[in-house]
Amino acid sequence: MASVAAWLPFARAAAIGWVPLAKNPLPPPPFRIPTSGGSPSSPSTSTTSASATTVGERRCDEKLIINISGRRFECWRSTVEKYPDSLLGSNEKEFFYDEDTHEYFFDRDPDVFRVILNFYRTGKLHYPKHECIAAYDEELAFFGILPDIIGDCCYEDYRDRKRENTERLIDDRLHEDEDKTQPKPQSIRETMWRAFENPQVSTMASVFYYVTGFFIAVSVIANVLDTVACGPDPETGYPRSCGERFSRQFFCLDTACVMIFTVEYFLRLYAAPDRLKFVRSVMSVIDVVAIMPYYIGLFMNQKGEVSGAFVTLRVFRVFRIFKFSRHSQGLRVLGYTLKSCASELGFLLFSLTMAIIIFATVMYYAEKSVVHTKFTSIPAAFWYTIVTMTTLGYGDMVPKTWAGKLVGGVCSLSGVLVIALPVPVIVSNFSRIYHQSQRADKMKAQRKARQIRIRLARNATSNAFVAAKRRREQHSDDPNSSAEKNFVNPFELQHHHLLRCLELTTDREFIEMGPDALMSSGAGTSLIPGSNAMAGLGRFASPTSHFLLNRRKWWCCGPRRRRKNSYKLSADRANNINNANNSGDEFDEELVDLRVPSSLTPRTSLTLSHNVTAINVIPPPPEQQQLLQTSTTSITIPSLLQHDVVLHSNVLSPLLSAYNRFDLNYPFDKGSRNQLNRKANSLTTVYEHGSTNETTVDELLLKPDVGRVRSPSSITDYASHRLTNTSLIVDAQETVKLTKKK
Amino acid sequence: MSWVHSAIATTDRRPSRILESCKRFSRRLSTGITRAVRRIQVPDARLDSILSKNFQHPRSLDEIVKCTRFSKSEIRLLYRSFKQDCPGGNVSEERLREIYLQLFPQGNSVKYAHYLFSVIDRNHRGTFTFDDYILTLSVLCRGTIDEKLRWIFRLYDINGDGQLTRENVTEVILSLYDLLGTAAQPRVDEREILQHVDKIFESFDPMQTEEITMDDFIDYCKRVSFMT
Repeated sequence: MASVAAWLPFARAAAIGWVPLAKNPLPPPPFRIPTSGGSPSSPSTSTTSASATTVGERRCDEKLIINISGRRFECWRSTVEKYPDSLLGSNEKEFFYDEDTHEYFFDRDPDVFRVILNFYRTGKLHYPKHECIAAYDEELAFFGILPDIIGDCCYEDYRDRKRENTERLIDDRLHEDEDKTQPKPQSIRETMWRAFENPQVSTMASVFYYVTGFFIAVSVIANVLDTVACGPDPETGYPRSCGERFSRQFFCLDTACVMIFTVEYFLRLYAAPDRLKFVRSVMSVIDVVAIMPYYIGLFMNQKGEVSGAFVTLRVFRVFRIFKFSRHSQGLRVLGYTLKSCASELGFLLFSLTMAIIIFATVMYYAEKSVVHTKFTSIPAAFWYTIVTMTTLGYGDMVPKTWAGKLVGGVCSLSGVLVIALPVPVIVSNFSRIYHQSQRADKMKAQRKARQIRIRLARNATSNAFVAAKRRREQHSDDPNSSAEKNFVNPFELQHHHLLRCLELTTDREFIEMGPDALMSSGAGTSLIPGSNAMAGLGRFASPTSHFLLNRRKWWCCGPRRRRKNSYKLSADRANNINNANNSGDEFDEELVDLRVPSSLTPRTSLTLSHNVTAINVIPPPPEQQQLLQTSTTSITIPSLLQHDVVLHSNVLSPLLSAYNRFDLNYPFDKGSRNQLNRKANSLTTVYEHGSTNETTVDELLLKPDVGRVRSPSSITDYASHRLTNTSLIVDAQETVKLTKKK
Repeated sequence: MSWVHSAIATTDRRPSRILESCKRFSRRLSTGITRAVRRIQVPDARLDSILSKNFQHPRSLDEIVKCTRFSKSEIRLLYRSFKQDCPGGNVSEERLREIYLQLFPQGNSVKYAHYLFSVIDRNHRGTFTFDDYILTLSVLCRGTIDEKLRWIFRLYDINGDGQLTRENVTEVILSLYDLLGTAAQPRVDEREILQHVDKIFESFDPMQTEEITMDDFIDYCKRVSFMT
């Protein structure tokens, strides 16, 4: 979440764009900086003095102190200015200058920085082997150094690890794309294509898959059995093959198989999104080669049998067996391995060819003198060399002279060596690809569980946000909790304010998702166990669930990368609610003063102190105050009343939500204010225990008539209570609407 | 190849030019064969060239101080957090979408991030840098009312034709409701959204012209005193 904290001020600034569209007036930002000590003159003098010092520091032989997360490095200025394209060598480092300590502070990894600074010193960039490649790349990117310039000593290692990592990432991304719920296909064509590519999609697709597999097998077996000897020919007495005996049956079988293959090919061609690409792909070429011989055979039969070509065509029928590669992933892995080892295989072939030619030549000339020798020519000797080098040794050609035998011996020895050399490379490639495919399979199997976990984490995060927000709102009214205000987490405050602005713009309110929503696959309605909940929800579940289902399909990408952060965040929030210091290490504390008054405020501290006065606000409050005077944009009451607040996991939040709406004008029930306070306190205990779901379900069952909007307190009491806490009061009328302190 | 070099070196010293050219030729041959055998992979080189294009340096601190209304220390702080999040200096629309997804976890930030991105990335380069970021922030936080209203108008004017139509406002409001997502009460209803749009648009456009120019918008907002 640290990176998001960096963007939070920006998001809040951009929220100005919501102001004209808002249904309800937007709340003022959390708190303002006290303007004490912020006179315009002093900061400007400080800046001029800073600039003076920076000008003065331009001398070349000056030492720079670079503080990387506490570890100080010192070097000459000229050292870093050697490479003006990088961060340290250019003006960009001035952004990181700390004027108090006169050093450059970077909040990065000191171990990797050591390597980077050595690059400036020695001109050679090394890659430390124990570092993760991704972290190293990130650091290089931060400091503006290209990985190209890694020195020769470490380059190979870097390249290999980088390639491995990229392949793994591409793999993961491919599978992530498959994981994403696909939008419903637009047309029959798309359905068909998806069915062809991924047989698990529907039952029809798997039926099709198995049927084609079966027919491929039948066709191949028929081809094989075609040639088996099947009994003697009654006319000539010679044994004849089954193909000749049962020629009509085999012909029918062949026709049926080819029919099916043709239909399948044309269906695939129709369904393919990019037909040209499909026609050029390997699988389609195999399909064509598998069925063409049949058709060519048909046409040739009509012209008359040309037996040589016909026989060749029959040979091509065996390529049907390659159609199995669509059905078998192992075959595809093997094919991919061979493709990726192409260079090694090429080397093997090349060296073998060289050796064969050499040895065959020598052998021929050695055996030339023998009478009735088998080594009639050099090409004839090739056969001997191949058989010897691969240690087959058929024995159909053997040397007779002693020179020939010597050469033969050397040939077999060298054969063993030459063939053994590229094999380990091929084996390692194969094992790498095989492990990758195994990992892919494992991930596929865990896909469903992972999606549920992602959804859980996401819901937990948002629940945690909402819960923390409510807790903050509720704590800020409780006078006993004043001591905790110093521990307030500024990031949370800002974030809650942003969420609140959106709530008011659209006149909705964030709720926590109940436990069933976490487990449901896509419905997203907050159904809760308990009969009373269902009664209240019944009206809302059906018409809107359809709507929600449509919404679900727009989930953004990137759930996986967020998962880790959100898990950590929600776990922290759940465990350490009152200890905001704990989450300080996650959040980036460097928020900026962005206020309208031109008085410049003291710089925020760079350390992770949760000093409340250091936190700043964004869009200036006066704008929003004036906004409230318009009646056109505040709709509020009728729309609120017409929606019954639906039950959700936190039973007490309907009451709280009304309590927190400061723009309500409808009459309040004084009597229920005490009830609210009591419930608020018990809510605190609920949150302190960390788990909301179990306890609130119990309370839900105890209070059967919860479910209507009840605004508990009188507005004036509420307002007066808030008056003391906020600093944005304009006049009494507006306090009603705008007093809200986070 | 070292034995070749040593063999050549120990022989005749007189034809040194021939020697040089032999050495050069042998070296070239060996590098050529090595390259052909090693077959340097193109995709990695492409990746690095992409990487080099992506390193963006901002303008200098002094220039930024002149262009915006922030002080040096504020700019430093902003830059630090910006750089921490995005070391390459380029923020893509995808990244903005992710950020908003983290800020509004139950929502769908695609549309809103797209509109916001188009208004920040004025030159339609596909990414925005720290300069754009700080200029936007300067307008939004320290700008005059006019500047802010102009920015908001450009945000709403999605198709960039200088006029605000009902469709534009509808799209923007829809994007906000998307951001809200599913975890909101009361439930979002299509009809309600359209009502919201109608109400807002009618208040922008009392004369029913169905198209609002920037001046109209600014006048309206000032009149209604959104942000005086």
